[in-house]
Amino acid sequence: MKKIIHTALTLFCLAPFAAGAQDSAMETGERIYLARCEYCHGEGPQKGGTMMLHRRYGESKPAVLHQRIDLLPEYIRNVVRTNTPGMTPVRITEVNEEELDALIAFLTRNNPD
Amino acid sequence: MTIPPGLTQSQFDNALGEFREAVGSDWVFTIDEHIAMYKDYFSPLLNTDLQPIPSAAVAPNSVEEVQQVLRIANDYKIPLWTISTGKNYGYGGPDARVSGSVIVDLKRMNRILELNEDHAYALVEPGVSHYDLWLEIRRRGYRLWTDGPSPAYASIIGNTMERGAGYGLLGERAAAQCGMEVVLANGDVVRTGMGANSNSETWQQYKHGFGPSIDGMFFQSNFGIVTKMGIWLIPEPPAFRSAEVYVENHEDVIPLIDVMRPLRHANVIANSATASLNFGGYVEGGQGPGGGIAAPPGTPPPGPPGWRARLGFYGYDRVVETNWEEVQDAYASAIPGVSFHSDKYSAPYNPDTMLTESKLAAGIPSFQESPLWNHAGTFVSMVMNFSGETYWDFMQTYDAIYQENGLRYMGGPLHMHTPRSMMTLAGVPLSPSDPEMNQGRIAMVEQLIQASAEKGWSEYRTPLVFMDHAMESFDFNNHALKRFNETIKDTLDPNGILSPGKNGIWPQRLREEQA
Repeated sequence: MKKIIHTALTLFCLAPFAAGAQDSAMETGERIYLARCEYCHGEGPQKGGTMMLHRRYGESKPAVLHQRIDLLPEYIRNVVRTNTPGMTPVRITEVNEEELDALIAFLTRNNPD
Repeated sequence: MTIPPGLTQSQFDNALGEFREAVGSDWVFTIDEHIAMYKDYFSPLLNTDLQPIPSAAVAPNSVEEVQQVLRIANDYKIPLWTISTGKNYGYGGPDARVSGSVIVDLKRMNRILELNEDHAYALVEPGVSHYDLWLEIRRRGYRLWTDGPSPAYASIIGNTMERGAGYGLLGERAAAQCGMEVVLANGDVVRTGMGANSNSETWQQYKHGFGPSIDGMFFQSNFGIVTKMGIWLIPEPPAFRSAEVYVENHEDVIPLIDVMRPLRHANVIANSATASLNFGGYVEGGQGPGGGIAAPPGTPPPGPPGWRARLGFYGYDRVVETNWEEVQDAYASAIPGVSFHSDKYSAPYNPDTMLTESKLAAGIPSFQESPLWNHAGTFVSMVMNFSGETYWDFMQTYDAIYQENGLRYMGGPLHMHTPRSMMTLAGVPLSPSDPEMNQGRIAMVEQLIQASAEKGWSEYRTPLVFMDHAMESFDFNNHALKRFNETIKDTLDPNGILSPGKNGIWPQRLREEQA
């Protein structure tokens, strides 16, 4: 997974910011993740969200968001749209409802059935 | 549901209908769940009924839609409050000053209209963040550097108009601005500087225009809505050294600043340098060894006591090395025990291999500060002499007031982003769950602003709740500056619809109500 995301990030940096309209929900979700979440929640130093989740969960859960397999859709929606410690609401003008649905599809893709 | 002051529910319903027609019904927000996203969760007024609640938010996507929103607001005399991305955290976030205001959210206007490598500038809309621009420069492979605040989700236009600070070569953000497009309250669209020539080829290259420079009027004001801004970028330097100067003793902060001053004036230190306490030698929540400085909660891991300055050196390799050697010599001859650390980089730069501190000085977006927003607090941001003695006086003055309020002064960072002055950031802790204590802290900040004014120190920027206090401290000739601002406000915006109260500028209608 680490490799896939790293490749995706590299591609993203080379590919247009706004990808084509034919994106699947998963692709849209990944694109939104990379543009709006990864800078805080991705791998590597200087990622505020990752640092904070590491402090909160220690080794019991991955601190990097896209490695989680336990995030539930309603939980993601709630964290994105409301004020939570360390993260202010992401407004509809930043990530619209359709994009949020796609983001949820991306972040829950590896959840066990 | 909150409604704008002076309107009936049915008038407001009609206005909302017109807003929906203007920007599309998906982009007018009125339900509580949506309004809650336009709240400043760091406000000193949080969890009190003093915090203004917006009546709605509208999100235009074009200059024409902005004009429509202004027309409707004028017709109904609705106070608006404009935000670019609403991330001005610590200074008000998306909050308005008047309850019932309609928030004008410009985030959808997020286009990078031009990115010019040869002339090193960008022309952007208000919704473009520092991070967005940095990504786009990288995507195109342009050899340009940008600069900006951390966290980097802030709007370039919003942060620049607030005169924010970066950390690199373009750290004085207001000085990197070149050419604006502004929609005035009456819907007229003005381009500043050379942009007033419809065919101009130097709108983003020559700042001054012909006749008065009016760009400055739109910084930290409520005279118009800025819809485009030129922002200068800088050619990637062939070499870059990110450097730190450490001094051991508390009093060493005085020569740390004084040695820096002429080097900063002469552009030997060309970046937006900073200085801050090393918290390692200080006791969390208690008194420090050197002079009563207490480390704030959440203190970083122990390190050496004393202070550190962060500097950057840029340009041709030999120039970088020579300048850094000269700076080390200057410090070594002035401060016993001074030590240095630095990291050298050369083009092509790979952000993945750069240290956090180096990235900031290279204008590479950082989000490391994001979790710090977990704690509540407010800022006092004073501009003062670039002088060690002044800073020492500042710390003593502030510590006395902090002690009167049961606290010790918390040493915030010093920013030398303007080469001839110094800005100090003092933090005042708040608790979201203790509005009563927060009221005490508000009074304490007002005390700090007053004491500062008497010393000749003035705020460069302030949270909403202190804007009137800060403006009052600019008192020369019976507040001539404030009266001048009001004259302009009443002329350009006779209905007082644009961000009433921004930086202590109130329209006539609301001044009369307050009187």
